[in-house]
Amino acid sequence: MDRETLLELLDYQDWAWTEVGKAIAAQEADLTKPAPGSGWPAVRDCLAHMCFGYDVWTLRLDGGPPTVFDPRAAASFAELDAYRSKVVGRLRVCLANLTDEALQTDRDVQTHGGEVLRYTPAEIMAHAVVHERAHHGDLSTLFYQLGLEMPMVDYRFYVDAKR
Amino acid sequence: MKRAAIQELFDYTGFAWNAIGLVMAKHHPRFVAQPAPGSGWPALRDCFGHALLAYDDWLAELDGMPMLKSDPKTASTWKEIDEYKEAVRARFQDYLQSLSDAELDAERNVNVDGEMMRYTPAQLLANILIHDRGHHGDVNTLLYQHGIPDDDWPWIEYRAFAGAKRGYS
Repeated sequence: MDRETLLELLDYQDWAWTEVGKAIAAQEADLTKPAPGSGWPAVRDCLAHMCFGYDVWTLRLDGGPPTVFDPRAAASFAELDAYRSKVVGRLRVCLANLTDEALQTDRDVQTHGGEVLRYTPAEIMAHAVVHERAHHGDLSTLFYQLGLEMPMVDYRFYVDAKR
Repeated sequence: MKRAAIQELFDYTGFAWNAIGLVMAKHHPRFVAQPAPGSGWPALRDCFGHALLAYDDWLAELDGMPMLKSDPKTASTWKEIDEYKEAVRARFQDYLQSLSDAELDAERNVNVDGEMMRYTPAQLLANILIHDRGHHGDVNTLLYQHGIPDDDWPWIEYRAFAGAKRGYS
């Protein structure tokens, strides 16, 4: 995936995150209310996981210090939003600091199990941003279980919003 | 979104569909029609069907041909879903290949539920694929509700796709 596509998908995910935040605020959703049946304890845990994906993978790319914050302990969407801004911002900086050639160059990357595999930074960044999108489906089911309305976050609506 | 990016997302979602198919075949191909209350979807087939109908519906609007004559939401087996998936994704690939780069990025009128809107084919093709990916989370929730352990859920992250291309197991 090239830089232009990564940036577009990041912009799309930023927009979708904002829409989710607006829906949470408008419906005064309790992020910590248990939602049995989804596999997630509560909405907060799913949102935290979506952000954590950026954190952990960017850390493995830029080699910087870990972020000292557990998003699963967040008490509000504002805290999660601040965390996401930080970790996505870090990924954007990492992307900006790489040349197009470096972005597509294989390197050793440590994975969850401690195994080291070869990936390009572009592949890891694509993984992080596409990861977030998959969890919109989890959010939809969580919102459903809590009797909340999930905002429309399809790519088409992002295209409309840009206009 | 450029052609190469659309093609990559198409290949990635194809990888994911294949991984989902392996899980469905292993556990219970008839799970597709069994009720899974609590997710908002009546059953897996409704979620799969929704993701695939988006291909069918948008492509019919784009290429001017009717939608396929099958309803995945009445499927009783994974095989039926899989056949529909193959058909709509083949249509997607054919349509993408039929367009020049200029045509892909040329705005046109599109009828969206009776309202005429302006989109490029690239925008709508990207919408179809990103929409597909967005429902992977629903699929996992449905598998959870059927009692399938998460170790058995399909590993359909982008990294799995990138790794598969490299021969990682």
